[in-house]
Amino acid sequence: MSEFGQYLVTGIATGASFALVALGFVAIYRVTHVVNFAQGAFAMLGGYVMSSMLDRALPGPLAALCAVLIVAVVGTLIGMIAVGKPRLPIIASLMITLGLSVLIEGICLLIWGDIPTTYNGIGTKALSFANIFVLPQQVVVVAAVAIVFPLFQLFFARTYIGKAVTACALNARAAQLVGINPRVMAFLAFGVAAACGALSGVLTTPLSPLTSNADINIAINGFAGAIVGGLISPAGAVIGSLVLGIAQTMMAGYFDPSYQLVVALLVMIAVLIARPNGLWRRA
Amino acid sequence: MTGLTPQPPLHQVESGSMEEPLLDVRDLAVRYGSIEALRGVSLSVKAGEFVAIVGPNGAGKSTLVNTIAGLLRPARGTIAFAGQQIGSLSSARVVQRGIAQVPEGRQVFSDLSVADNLQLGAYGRYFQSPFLIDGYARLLGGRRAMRTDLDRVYALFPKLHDLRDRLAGTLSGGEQQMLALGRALMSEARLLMIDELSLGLAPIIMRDIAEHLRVLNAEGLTVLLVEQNVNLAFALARRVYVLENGRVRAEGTPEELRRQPEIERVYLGSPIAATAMEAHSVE
Amino acid sequence: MPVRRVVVAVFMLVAAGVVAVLPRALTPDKRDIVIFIGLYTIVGAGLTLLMGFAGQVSLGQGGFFAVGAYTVGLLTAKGHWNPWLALIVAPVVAMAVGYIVGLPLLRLRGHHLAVATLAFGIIIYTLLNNLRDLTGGPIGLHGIKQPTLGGNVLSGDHFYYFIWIVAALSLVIAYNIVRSRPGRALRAIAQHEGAAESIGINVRLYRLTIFAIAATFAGAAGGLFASYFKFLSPDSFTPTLSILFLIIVAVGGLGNVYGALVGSVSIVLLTEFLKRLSTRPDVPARAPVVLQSLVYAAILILIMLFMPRGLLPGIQQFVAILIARFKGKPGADVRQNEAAVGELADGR
Repeated sequence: MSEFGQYLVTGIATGASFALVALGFVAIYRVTHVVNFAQGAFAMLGGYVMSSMLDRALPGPLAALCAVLIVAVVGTLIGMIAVGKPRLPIIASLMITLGLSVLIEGICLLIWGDIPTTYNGIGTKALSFANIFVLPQQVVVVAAVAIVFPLFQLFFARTYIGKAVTACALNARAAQLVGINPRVMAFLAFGVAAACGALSGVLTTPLSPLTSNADINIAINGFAGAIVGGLISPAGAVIGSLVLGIAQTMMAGYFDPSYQLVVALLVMIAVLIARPNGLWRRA
Repeated sequence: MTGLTPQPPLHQVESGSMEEPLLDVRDLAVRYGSIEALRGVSLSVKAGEFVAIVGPNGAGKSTLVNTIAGLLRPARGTIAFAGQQIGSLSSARVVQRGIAQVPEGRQVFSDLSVADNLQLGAYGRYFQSPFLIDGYARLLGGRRAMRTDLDRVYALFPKLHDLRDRLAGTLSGGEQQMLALGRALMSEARLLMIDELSLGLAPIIMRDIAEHLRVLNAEGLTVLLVEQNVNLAFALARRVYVLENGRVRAEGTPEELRRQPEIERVYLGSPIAATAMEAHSVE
Repeated sequence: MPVRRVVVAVFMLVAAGVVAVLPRALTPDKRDIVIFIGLYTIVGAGLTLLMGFAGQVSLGQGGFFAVGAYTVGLLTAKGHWNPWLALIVAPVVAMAVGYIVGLPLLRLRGHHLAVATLAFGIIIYTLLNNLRDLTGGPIGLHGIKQPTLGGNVLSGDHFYYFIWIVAALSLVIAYNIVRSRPGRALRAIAQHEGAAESIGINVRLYRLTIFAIAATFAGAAGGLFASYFKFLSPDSFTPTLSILFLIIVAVGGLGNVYGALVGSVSIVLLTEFLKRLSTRPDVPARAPVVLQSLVYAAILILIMLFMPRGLLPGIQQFVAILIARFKGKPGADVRQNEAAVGELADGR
């Protein structure tokens, strides 16, 4: 039974790291209807930038802030390339984000090399309750989701500019008619998504070292989580990610760790086919 | 009360623009691929006027309005507003210049509240550059103005005040039309364009909203109404353009047009057929 | 029209001539490059049908390529089948997998389909790595047998000719599919699904069939790949391979069967050029991979931005505009509002 509890706790932490990436998918998809293949690259870039910041002896929180901000800027630029050109077909935007993720992979390889990169999180000593072990870093990841998710919701539901983004997602044409520029909203969404992704990378790199092709796995897991909410519901994305994280950990624990990603993919395909608009209807 | 503008539009209107029209469209042509939707349309609207555009389905009425609003690019011709060329401006810029549109089918932001919908109507006044920060500064400075404008819309449509916390998508057709109208008014437009006011509305509600429009126009707001319901258009407008096949077929006061048997035959002859086509176009 | 035919015929003849003469001029490792061009042309011909004419995006062609390759590999190395038979069975198996996978997947559209097919490719890749008893896992699969012809093992230059005959055949087949009645139906689907349905075209069946045909092409190429190199390992079938196929078709031009050939030639040669450029002694060791991915990415991004219909159509259009300018016909602006309609439709 404690084995089960252990998997559950680890699974929640894993799922929490997916959730941040998933929120990024949601932020972009709502406004642009583009599936951003570069979403995993944001997380990877976040981890790498963080490691460089720490190498320059920046204190942890400051380094994290820098990493998130830098990647947010990169993300906005990527948004400008992917959806900035007027009247670009959605499928072309999708291909462009795919190309950009390959580009970022290459650049990461160039700068940080192909040796797995990692750094110490806060504390390496596992905490234990009732024979269930938790790393402090895992607690941080879960806490980050617990903080970021409500902020994300507040931003899109309560702030004026957030409402403008939501309006644009609901009806781009009507949004244009009140003077909202959908492209600017899309860039903003890319910035927010990149920040979420970067935060995930910053917080999870101590748990699993980064390689320059890590982005595909990160993106797939995040996408699989987000698809549960039909790519438009943040709540659905978080819940989907947590369920996926738990399922993967159980799979790895009780069966075979090499099929973890396959679980994510099958969950994703099954949800896509069964309910293309997501299991979690309310946006 | 003179509309919703702090500087009443009447003043701007009367000083200097008695000669030149507020909106001046010359020889406008618009193409969708190889299809020519507008083939050289010229029309003008003087400040304070109430002008209607009628014509059968596919005549190019909506294309005309969407092109003026900056959603479509003209292939030929010019659009001048208050003496300045706006033919190449984006929709956001057009809104900032003072043209608001109530789109066909209303298109409210269904998952936002009524109050949010109205406030977003003022977006173009605050956020005028792609760098959102200056917009926020203006928004913070203009909070009181926003409040006042909101109260004016509520005064005009008390029902919207009662419904202010409801999601726009849950309103009835008539209420949504009021909301769309209120949202357009929030932009402090000098020219209000309405695409198919009567579409899908019960006659009583239609008359109520039409009455509001009459009042707004009497207070100085310039209105350009695109309407398939010729009786409504003739009842409201002082001058009517008849559009057919992408060209202006006739122009004049309702009385003048009623005297032309050909117009009578084409546009007033078979209301049932027109309604059927209307229903088809909504899908 | 006849001029066009002549141009195509001359182009094909020249291409055939070049292909026929090349082995005499090439060392074996350079011959491999031309082999890859042939194999990718086969995959590309199928993918062009799917993307250009049926309007579907697949990021899983690498998966079908792998299915074909491991079918030949397992049947000849472990099942001791006649290699000829295995080569024929490979595309059939890929087609069957295409139907089975396509049945649920093709309920999806656009980007959802793209992601789902990418997932299919990754699942296949994971299975190749993990089903060690069957595939040999990361170590790979040895002992693949090559077919014999008249008592001689078909290998080297002979296999080279064989592959190019198959490549030419697949172009011809793809071309004929496009020209056939079903092909025209396909184009109708790509342009407007609802309209196609309303004139009595069974959209689902067509989409599924074309998906399976694209899989068949990829499977055939995979089978040839296994048979020529006699060794398989999962690393040849990473998800990047599917992306490469996509780039080839995007470069060559969607909706043009010969685009597959143009795309494979240009991408494979470019890859080789980059490899040579970056493996010179004065260049750091990881440069080849980096350079390759950077250039791929740049090409994909630039083409999608500026020639969304592909290099070949892009050039054709450019030439057409030049000619129009030369003749003094200002007919170049027509495209503009076509897209504007789409933008409006998006807003709904």
